[in-house]
Amino acid sequence: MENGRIAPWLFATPAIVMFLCLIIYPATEGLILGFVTLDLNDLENHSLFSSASFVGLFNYIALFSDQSFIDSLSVLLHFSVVTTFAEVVFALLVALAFEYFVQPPRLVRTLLLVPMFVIPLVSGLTFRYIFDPSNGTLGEFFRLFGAEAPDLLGSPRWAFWLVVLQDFWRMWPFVFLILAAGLKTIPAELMEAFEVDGGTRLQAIFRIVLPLLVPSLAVACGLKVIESLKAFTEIYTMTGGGPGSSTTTLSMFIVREGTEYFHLPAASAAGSLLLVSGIAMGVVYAIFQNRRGPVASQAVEKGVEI
Amino acid sequence: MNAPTLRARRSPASRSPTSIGRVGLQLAVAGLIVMQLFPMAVVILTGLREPVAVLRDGMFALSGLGLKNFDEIFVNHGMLQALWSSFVVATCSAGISVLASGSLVFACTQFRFRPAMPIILGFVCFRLVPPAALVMPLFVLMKYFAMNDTHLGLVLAHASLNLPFCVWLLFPFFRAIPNEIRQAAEVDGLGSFDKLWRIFLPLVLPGLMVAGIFSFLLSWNDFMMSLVLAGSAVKTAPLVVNGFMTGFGPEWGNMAAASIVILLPVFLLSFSLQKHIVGGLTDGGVKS
Repeated sequence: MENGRIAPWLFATPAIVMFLCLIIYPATEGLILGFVTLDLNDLENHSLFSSASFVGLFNYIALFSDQSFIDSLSVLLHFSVVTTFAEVVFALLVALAFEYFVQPPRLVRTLLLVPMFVIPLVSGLTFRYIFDPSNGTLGEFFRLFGAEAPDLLGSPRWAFWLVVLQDFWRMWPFVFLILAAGLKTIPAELMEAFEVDGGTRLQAIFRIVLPLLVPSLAVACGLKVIESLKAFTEIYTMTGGGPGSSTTTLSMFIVREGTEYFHLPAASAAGSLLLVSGIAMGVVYAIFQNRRGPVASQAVEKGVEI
Repeated sequence: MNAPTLRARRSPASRSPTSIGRVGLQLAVAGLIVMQLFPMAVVILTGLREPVAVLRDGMFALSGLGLKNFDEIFVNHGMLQALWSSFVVATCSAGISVLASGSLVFACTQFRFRPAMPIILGFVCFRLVPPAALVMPLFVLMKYFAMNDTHLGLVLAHASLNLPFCVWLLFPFFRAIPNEIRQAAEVDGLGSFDKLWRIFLPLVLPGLMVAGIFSFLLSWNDFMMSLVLAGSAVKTAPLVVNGFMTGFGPEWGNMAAASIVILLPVFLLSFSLQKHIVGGLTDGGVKS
């Protein structure tokens, strides 16, 4: 069996080396940079850590007393909660309607899901174009009535809700697919038996379908929250994080601090928080999947189509 | 409309709702389609019309149709070169991610390999880490090794995002391949590498393809890494698209045309993956 000792290491080594160099090393570096101060100029003359001095929790204390960081957390929280809630509820309604009330032709489903494949970059720019008051669609619409269009993206309150609208447009189909796959795993016989016993269809949905759909709903919510944590490109291209910091999420805060203000300690500390929460969610999701079994795969075998 | 026959076939127990209710639902679905397609229609129409005509006749006219914007972005704005950059970076990062993760998962599932589970778990932990958490450390790393603003740097940065995803996607798939196949191969006296090529590769090829396409798309769609790690010497297509938001005001015609160009491969590849999307997003593993 000496073949069986060495061979697996040979196959595993390239990925492990890449993992250590490209993931573990930067992740560790990010965590360390959160606890030191340094000058970004030292990067140029290859003496990064020689000029670094350990400052303990100073960067984190500075971070949490930085109003723009607190704002970005608050924007992220609002954004995640609002989009997740709206999209899960809406996708659930559409999925239930398509499964139990109207059976639209396949083409209709496909058309509804198209925005899911629009990449965030284009989605953000498109919504910016649509709500551009001077030569966008909204301006055009208002001109029909001889009126001047309001600059919605220039108002902090409206900008946030338009970013939410953009996310809703693009992401509810994603939630819909997960829920539709979940619905396919619920045996039709259960509904039939309930209705034979004199229950209405609406009661059947509340008493039978929804309880059985809870795992799929949990997966949909979890994945949507994670997608919100990643939100960057679509907001960057749509509003640039503004006006003010009304649409600056945590990801945008990190990139802005790091690349525009060259403020590496703040960016690293904030990045470390995002890293740790990402790993925590990955672990939770793996445990969940391990315990409940693959949520969508049976449904995929039954052929959930786009 | 063949809705009644569909209904009869799919769920015999369904009592049809009142016709008013059904018409209402159908109208709602129609409205929904308009909402979902309107933004794309605006982009396509703007991309296909001359900017002058859009300004003169308004957004919903059909004047000035033509490929002038496309001509402009390819001739004057280096779109072709940017697409090529994006293509090279996406292909390379998807390629090395799939090769490395495929052989890792092969080692972890098909051999008696003690650290298999800890290794797989280590990778999977990072699958949900947002790119922004790694982008600044990667920036420092690339700067240190003078790899910022190079294709190689971007390839490696994208690989750091793709690798955990590929391992997570491929692990259940490789594990599902029964041991009997490997044992039969051993009885026939095939060595490890022969076994890999002749028996294993055809079985796992669909999984590797799916992982490869997902990785390619992740890299093709990426904007943040390109923005931070590249930009002057290496310009990927998303950077060019965003570049049309100039300081003198946005060039919507060019932007729309470039958006159409960048979206085409995404749509083609996504539809080739449609059976795997739900599983690929939630479970890992590839059902073929």
